[in-house]
Amino acid sequence: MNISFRGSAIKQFFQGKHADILCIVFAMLFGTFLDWEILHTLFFAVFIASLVWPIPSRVLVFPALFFLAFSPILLLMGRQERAEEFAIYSYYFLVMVVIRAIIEISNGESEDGVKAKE
Amino acid sequence: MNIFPGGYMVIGGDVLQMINFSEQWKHLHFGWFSGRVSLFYALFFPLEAMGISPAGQLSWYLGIFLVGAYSSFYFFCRSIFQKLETRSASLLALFYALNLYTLYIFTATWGFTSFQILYIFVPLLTALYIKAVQETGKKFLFLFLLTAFLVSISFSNPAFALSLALYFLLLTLAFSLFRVFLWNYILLKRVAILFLGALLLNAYWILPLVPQVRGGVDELSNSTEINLALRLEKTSNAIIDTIRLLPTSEQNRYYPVNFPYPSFGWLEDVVIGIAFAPFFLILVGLFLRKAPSERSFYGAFFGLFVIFIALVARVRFPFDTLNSFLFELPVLNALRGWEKLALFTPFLLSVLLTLFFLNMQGKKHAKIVTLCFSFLAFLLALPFFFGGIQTELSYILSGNKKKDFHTSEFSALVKIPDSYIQLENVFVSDPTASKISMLPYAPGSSVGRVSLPGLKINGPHPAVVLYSKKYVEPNDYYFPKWDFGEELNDRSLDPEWIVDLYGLIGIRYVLYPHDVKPKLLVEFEPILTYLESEGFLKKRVGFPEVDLYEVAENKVFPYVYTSNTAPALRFSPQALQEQVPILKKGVEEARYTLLNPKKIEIPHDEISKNQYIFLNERYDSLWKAEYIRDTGESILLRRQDEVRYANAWHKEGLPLSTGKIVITYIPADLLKIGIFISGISLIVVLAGLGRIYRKRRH
Repeated sequence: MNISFRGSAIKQFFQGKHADILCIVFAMLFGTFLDWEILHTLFFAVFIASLVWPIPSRVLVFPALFFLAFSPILLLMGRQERAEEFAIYSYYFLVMVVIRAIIEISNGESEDGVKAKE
Repeated sequence: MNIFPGGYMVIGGDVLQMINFSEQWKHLHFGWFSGRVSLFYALFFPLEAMGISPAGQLSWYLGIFLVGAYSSFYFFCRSIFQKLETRSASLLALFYALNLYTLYIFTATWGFTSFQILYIFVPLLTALYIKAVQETGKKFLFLFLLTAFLVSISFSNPAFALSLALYFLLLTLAFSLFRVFLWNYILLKRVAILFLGALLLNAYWILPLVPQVRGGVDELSNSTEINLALRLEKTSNAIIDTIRLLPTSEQNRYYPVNFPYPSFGWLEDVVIGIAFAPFFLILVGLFLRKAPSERSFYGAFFGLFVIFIALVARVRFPFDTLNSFLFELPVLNALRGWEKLALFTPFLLSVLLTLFFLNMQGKKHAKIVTLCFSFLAFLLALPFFFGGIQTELSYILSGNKKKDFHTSEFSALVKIPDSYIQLENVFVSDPTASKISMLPYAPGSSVGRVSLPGLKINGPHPAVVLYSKKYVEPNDYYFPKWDFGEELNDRSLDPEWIVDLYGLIGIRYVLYPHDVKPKLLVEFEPILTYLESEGFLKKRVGFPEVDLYEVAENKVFPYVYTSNTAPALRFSPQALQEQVPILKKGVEEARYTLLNPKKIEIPHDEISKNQYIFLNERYDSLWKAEYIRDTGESILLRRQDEVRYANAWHKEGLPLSTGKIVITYIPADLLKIGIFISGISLIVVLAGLGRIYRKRRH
């Protein structure tokens, strides 16, 4: 059976991004090698993705807000450890925000990751 | 409101309110604070002279702190973010002054000392640093240096100086990465001048500290390694608490978790929840579009906050591996207390909120957001407005059902009976440098603390600040690795060892408070009766609250003495009882002149008969003795390091025919050199400012 990817959305997505995908695969393998939990490995992969694709710093604030929003609720429900866990996930994204913001500012990009005209 | 009840002073935990300044001043200046803390208490000295009571002075601590924090942050806003509306600047300055962290400071009693004063200097120093680096004139450069000198009053614990240095290092790094600072030769030169200038202006306390730190670092890395790891783990802070400005390890003791208003119990959960709100606003602010300069500031301060969250977290996932390495490094291990780094988080949070409000200015919902924030900031600082910081909200009362300092077993607000104060009449009539201690052994919750339930005290003994004579705390390590206090109440031992021990240390007076646990008094009664009947202790004065005993004259070692032997004593009750009387027989008192608490001069003829000279101070290798000839030539005497119950030196065949022996504490000598360097630097700074001011007038 001959399956053709010509013209498919998947092919378009992957076209010219071999190096980027390789980086993310490497991130996944790196996390596995260090015996990280799957969730932490995924966060690391997202971090690598935020650098190579790249994801604007403003966008990365959303998942940080999303995870942190659970913390007060969980805390008031008496689930202190869960609340802290969600705050840690949020913290990972905050670190990504800071690193992306440094890159954006040093590259002269706007907050949306768009390079300003010379 | 927070008005403190008359007749009380603050004693609790590690905090002892400084009183009796006319007597304590010299100890502050020459003590281990090496002068820097005397600058802070210079504010309180005149208050006492004007007749303001210790309870009245408590309001001054609170007032100075809150007004100082407010003014400092307001100055920061006005000088760095000039476009910010005045009402927003006032609101944010109020948030900086009144928040969960400052509430912690005052409910934990730290606020009634000089320890946390750095908090009010952080915004001022940051604003002046940015201005001094970015602007071409010299005005801000000199102002920064002057503030860098004044901030030294915050370094009672030098770890705060270290944390401030770390903060500025990270701030500079963040400003560089986010292009707030665009580096060039001039900028580099200005940063170097600021750093060197600040160092010179602080030389007066840094120099005396160097030999002490060297000793301290050795001690830390040799003997308390396990304790350090444990301490780092115990003081670790969860992210959810750092962003709310709360200490994780003790949060049950502090507002809002320790909620003092039972009639509004439902509000507790609301306040716990809304404590997250300022940080949420900051995250929303990250999403809003900003002007380029604001964006750089936002990025830099936010990056710094993210770093401080990690540092304050200590040994806690996911920062455990990195932080256990970092905080066990020499010097950095001094930052093991939570508040050393947490102190900067309210400022970072407030700056980010300022940038958020700056961004919101003129936008559609700005007014509503400001109004909501004002309300939640008010709820978070409720006890500042409703009162009861120490009377109801003190951390000591947190375990009690009814939070009232009148009915609680212990309280940080303590009333010292007049009888204690009257004892000073006995001490002033005795010109010798003898010491005071107490019996029975009544340890508080930690080393250095005494438990006197009758007075509601669980903290340092008030005798430390009440009297002109030194107080030796039995619940402490006067001798290396031996806490003698633990054996004082042991009825199986011959009680004579107690007076042998106290006499050896130079303790002539023994307080016998009736306010210790009644059980202790019952247990100690036979020991006291025996010591009295044998004439080892004699009652001098008796009050319903406390008795004062005097140790038999033949047992007390003088402050300065000579002997032909300098044996190394074994530290145990039996060994001391055996060895001390033999040592005492060969002891001869030496005449001396106390030039200051850390400098003693002894005429040469006093030591000509015996081989060894002793200074009856706690063993400290930083004491040195010099033989100074009339010609001015000086020779160091060899220290007898095996003597650990005092400081001893051997004259080693020196003729000692003329001249004198001078015993000095090395840090006190370095203090003089430091004062000279800092003094000259301060004159240069003041002259520079004066010149700028004159030029402006013309």
